Amino acid sequence: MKNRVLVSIAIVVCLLVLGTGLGLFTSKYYHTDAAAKPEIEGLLWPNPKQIMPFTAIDHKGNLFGLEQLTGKWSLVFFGYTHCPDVCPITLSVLNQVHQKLAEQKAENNIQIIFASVDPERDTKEQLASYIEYFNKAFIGLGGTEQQIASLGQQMGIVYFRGEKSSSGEYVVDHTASVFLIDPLTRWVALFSTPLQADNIVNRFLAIQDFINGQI
Amino acid sequence: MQLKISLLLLSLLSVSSVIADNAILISNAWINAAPPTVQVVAAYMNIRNNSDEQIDLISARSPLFERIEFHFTRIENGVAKMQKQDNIPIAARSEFSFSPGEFHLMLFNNRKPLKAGDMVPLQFTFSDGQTVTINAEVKSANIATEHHH
Repeated sequence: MKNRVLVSIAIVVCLLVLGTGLGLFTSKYYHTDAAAKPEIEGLLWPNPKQIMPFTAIDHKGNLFGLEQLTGKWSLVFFGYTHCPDVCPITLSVLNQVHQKLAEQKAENNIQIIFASVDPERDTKEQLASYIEYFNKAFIGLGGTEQQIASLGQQMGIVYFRGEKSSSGEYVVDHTASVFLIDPLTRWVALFSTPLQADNIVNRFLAIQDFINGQI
Repeated sequence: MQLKISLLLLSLLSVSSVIADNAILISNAWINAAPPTVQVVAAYMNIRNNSDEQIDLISARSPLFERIEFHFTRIENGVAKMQKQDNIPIAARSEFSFSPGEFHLMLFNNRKPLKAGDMVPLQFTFSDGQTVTINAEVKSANIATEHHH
C-alpha cells in the first residue's frame, strides 16, 4: 500500500518534471523560432539546405568542392561568358557588392563565384580572362557539365541551351538569382532579380549578423 | 528686299525640314565593355519617336560587327530567357529604352578588339525608310550602373 502511494507520487513527480521540461523546451523553441527569425527577404530559415559534396574546377585549374566553401561566405551566380546582358550586369553588381563590403571591412571572409552553365565554350582559359576582367578576387567555376550540375542541382539551378545559329552561336537560358552559402556550407539565402548592390549588401550583413548569433 | 525675305523664308523652311527629318532621335547609346575573348556584347540606348505615327526599328548594323540582333531578357520563375525580336515598334510621340536586363542590342563577332572609351558607329534602319547613324561609346557597366542610381 505504502509502495503504491510512493509509486504514484514518483509517477506524478516524473510527469510534472517531464511536463515542465517539455513546456520550457517548446516555449523556448517557439520563442526563438518566432522572435529571432528576422524579416529579411530571401533568407531561407529555419532548416537551410546543407550543401553536399561536389567537385568542380576553378578558373586556375584547381579542384573546387565543399572544402573550398567551408569557413567562408559564398555568393554564387550561374551564367556563361557569351551572355551579353544579364551576366555582365550581374557581375558588375557583385563587383559593387564586393567594393562596398570592402569599404566596411567586411569582405575578408567572402568569396564571389561565377559558375558556368556553358562547359563547351567556357574553358578554363576563357573563364579566367572573363572573371579577371571583372575582379581578380572572383572565382570562375567550370569543369564538365556533370561537375557544374553536382553543385547547381543542389540549389535547383536550371539552364537550357538554345539552338545553334549557322555561325555556331547559341544562347543559354539560365537561373539568374544569386545564392548565398554560409561558412557551415548551408544554402541560407537567395537574392532574386532585379539585383541591386546596396540592397544585397544590406541583406547580406543582416543575414550574417543573424546566423553568427545562431552558431 | 523681297529676295531677302524669300531667302529668309527658304532658310527657315530648310531648318524646319531638318527638324522634320529628325522624327527619330537616338541618345545615350553605349556598349557594355567586355574582355577581349568575348565575341558577343550588348548595347543600350534610347530612341525617341517625335512623329505622329508609330515607327518600327527594323534593322541595325555596324562596320565593326558581323551582325546585330534585337533581344529581350524575360525573367520567368528566376530563369533569364533571351527572346529575339524581329523589330522594335516605337509608338508615336514616345521614347523606347534599350536597358540592362530588358531590351538590348546583341552585337556579334567584333572585327577588331574593343576597349572602354572606343566609339563604335551603329546604323539603324526604320520602317519609314530613314536611316540613322550614331556613335556608341564602349563603357564598363560598373560605371554605367552606378550612374543610373
